[in-house]
Amino acid sequence: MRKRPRIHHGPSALSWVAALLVLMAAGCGNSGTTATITVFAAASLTDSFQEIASEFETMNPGTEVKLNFAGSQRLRSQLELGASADVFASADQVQMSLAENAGLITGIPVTFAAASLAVIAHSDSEVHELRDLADPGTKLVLAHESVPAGHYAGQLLDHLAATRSGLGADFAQRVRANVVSEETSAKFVEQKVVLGQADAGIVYRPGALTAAATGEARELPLPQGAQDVRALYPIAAIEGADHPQLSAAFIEFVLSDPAQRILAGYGFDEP
Amino acid sequence: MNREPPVTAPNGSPGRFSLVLRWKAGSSLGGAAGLIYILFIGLPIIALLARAAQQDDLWGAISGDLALNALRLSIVTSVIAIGVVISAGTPVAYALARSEGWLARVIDGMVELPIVLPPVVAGVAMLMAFGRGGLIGGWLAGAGIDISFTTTAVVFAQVFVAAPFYIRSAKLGFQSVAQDYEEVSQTLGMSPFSTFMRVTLPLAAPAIITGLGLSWARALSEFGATMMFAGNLLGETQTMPLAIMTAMETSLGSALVLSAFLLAVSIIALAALTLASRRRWSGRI
Repeated sequence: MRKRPRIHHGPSALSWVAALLVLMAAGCGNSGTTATITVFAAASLTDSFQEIASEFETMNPGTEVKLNFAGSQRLRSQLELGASADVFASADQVQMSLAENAGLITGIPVTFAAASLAVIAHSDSEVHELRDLADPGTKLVLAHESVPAGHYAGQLLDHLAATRSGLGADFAQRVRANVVSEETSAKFVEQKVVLGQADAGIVYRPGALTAAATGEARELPLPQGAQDVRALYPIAAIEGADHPQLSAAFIEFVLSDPAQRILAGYGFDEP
Repeated sequence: MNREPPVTAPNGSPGRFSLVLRWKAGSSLGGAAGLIYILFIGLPIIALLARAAQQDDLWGAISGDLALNALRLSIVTSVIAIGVVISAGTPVAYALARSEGWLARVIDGMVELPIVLPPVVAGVAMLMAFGRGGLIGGWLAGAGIDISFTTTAVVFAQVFVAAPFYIRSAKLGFQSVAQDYEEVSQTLGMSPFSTFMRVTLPLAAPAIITGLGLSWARALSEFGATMMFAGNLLGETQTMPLAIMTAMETSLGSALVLSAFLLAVSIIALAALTLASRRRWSGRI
């Protein structure tokens, strides 16, 4: 056998990794009798649900609300694949129904909020009114049609083309030709516009307000009647979750006046 | 200074026999850990293939609009990316192999950084540089060149993340070629270029081919930077990994079939790579 040189190092990289893992494990450990529920919520609820969850935690000491935000279709798909959660708040009825059909939901979903749609444009872009969306060269970002925000955006475009708003019957078609990316959540659409990567995008009203607040985007005026196309947000408890009572309490809180005020503050409407 | 003889396949090494000996000698604890690891890697692969095979409409999923567009785009972009990587990376790799000093070390580190950089960070960074509001993106947009959300952006992302794998490997390959050979070749009247083509390159070929394979595989699998920088649009920027992500949220079946397909491509690429790098290219001199 060949003899191999042995080199002695200080503490090996492996031992550092091991020490780090031990520290992380310690950090993850539950302290005391905290009850935790996990809420899967549509990406467009990000800001409002963070505030609602922290309010709920303050009102119920010893409880912790973990939030997971993504496009509703992704959350539903994660739930189907066995992700564990206690509450699901979807941005449309379609994803909630799919979850119900898959036997993931217990009880009847309740609609707790609504949101109209909004068209936003980057501050520096040439897009100033709706007709500019159809100009060749305009970079428009929508959510993918499997995403609630993308589904609603399609409805909005069809609505605008159908009503006599002077945009022309082929408006929807010309606008669709300008789509440069189909994102997986309304939040990603908002970010792409705020960053100036895209000229314009279609999001929910609350997202448009958040985007406008950055000073990097503006909301385009929509004609009367466009508000008819609106998202409805159902919420429901997940079948077989660990804390059914806490989940019920959270859903009840979302429907209560304080939470409804928070939602209104972010631009959501009553359903 | 590296004047070791060229690295070739260890044909004279003890090989299989000694592996068996070592396996027996190894503690049973180590054996168990090793077995668990092999299962850990093997099970997901088997599970993916098994689940994909259960899908009713295998061919429908592969020949569907989503898959075909994504496959075409993935192949086109990754091949272009590899072309760029070879033409720009080879001189860099050679220069780094023959250079010393702090500047070379700094450049060396910068070139290898994307290997450890999370791809999403690469995407954000590229956005800040080449995006429309970016460092030179605004100037490019003024000149009528708009990169974000185009197929070019996909190639940009792939080159950024994949090039280091080629350059790193090619550099090691060039370093293994003793400079004596090059000097002898040139004293015999060959130009530096033909010396490079006929002496250095064949000797470094195994390392270069390995690097090419790794780099191409990395370009093909690029996801994070593409999603950040190039977006997600059928036929334009939606490569195979992005198509799998999109399919995952609509029909799990298609996602499974596409994943199995990409897995098969990876296995074939790895096998081809192993075969290619085993060939002895030095015989060509």
